[in-house]
Amino acid sequence: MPGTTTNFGIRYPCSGETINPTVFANWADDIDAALTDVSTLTTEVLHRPRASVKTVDAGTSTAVGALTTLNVGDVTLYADGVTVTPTGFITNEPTLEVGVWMVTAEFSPLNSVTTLTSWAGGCVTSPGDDMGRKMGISGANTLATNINISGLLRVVSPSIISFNWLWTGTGGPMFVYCNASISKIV
Amino acid sequence: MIPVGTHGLDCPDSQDYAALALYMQCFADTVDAQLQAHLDLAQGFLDAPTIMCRNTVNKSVAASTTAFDVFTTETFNNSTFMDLVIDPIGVAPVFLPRNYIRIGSAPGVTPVVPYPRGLYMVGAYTAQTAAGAVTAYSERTLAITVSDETLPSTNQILFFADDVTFDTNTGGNERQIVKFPIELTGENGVIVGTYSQNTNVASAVDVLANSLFWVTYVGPSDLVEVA
Repeated sequence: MPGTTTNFGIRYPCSGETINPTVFANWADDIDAALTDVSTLTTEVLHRPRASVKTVDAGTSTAVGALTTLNVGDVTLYADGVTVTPTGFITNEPTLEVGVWMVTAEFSPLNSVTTLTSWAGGCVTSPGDDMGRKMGISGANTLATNINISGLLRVVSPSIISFNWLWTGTGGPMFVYCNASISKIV
Repeated sequence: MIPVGTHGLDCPDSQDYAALALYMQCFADTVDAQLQAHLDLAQGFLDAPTIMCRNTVNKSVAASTTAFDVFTTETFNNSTFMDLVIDPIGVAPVFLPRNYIRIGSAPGVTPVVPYPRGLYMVGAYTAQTAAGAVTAYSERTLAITVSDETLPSTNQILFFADDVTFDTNTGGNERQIVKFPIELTGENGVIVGTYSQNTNVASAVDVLANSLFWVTYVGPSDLVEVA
């Protein structure tokens, strides 16, 4: 009756046991299986689902007063375990769809409009959480400043993570460039 | 036995073959322990201790008051050392509601909850909207404080950051976001709190449900680079 190790159950011969080729084979096979377990998890560490994308340089056209989903997936800089679509990311990690993601986006308005009173960049998981930042200005203004958002969002089922922009004022459209990245935390 | 390699493994010498069974057991136990250490390290990276909280209903905040209890519910927590704590301060019957995330143990409480020292990332997000009239260009504030309760009361805040935006009275929600890293190296636990303020004198402001407050452990900060 062989003994086994605590964590991986590697079989070894006990005192008085005949050591034949089968005993050696079991011992080696179990060590090999343990190495495979570690190797599998190490691969998962090295390939945490993550992606980085950006809009084409011309940006996405956004009309005044209309919450607009930005075309962040025009250019894929990097993607591993995540599918990039024109309007965002699809979190499709093969073994676990749900989780907590660090999401970061930099919004860069590209052109002046006639008048500008507020502008906001946001991110939403559907279904799940959302976050964003809204800016306002009291004086006469025509050009919005950049907005950066970053934080944790939960994905509670296979989900799209998308980015949006909303501005108020007159004129337009406003063209908005966005550089966004996501990485799975848990 | 003859030592081989750098992982504490041996191979039998010519006079050791009578102890082959014992050798195979020792070898297997050493491999088992070494691989488990690697596995724990990898699993720890995949399961970064993280807590996320929300408010399930709108939180009404009057102008020039401070709400320390916006976040009321844990929505995710895979850590053994962080919790959302509902802990009013003050003396009965006047209490000031206060909710916060505690990392580690409260001072003087046993058993002590150990927590990993090192780098953490903290963050919060709120969407705020006036319940009634808007005072144009009034402020909406979201702040995070990280405090050590064992320090003198005037000097307890270790880290602080806030986001102040303005309501231009153009409709929609005002949105604030705060995120920053902290390094915890002290002997005791800390509390990570938020507060919401506004200067909208025309009406109270609602911090809308499903705003977010979170803390995640990044890793130890004492790793030494080997040249």
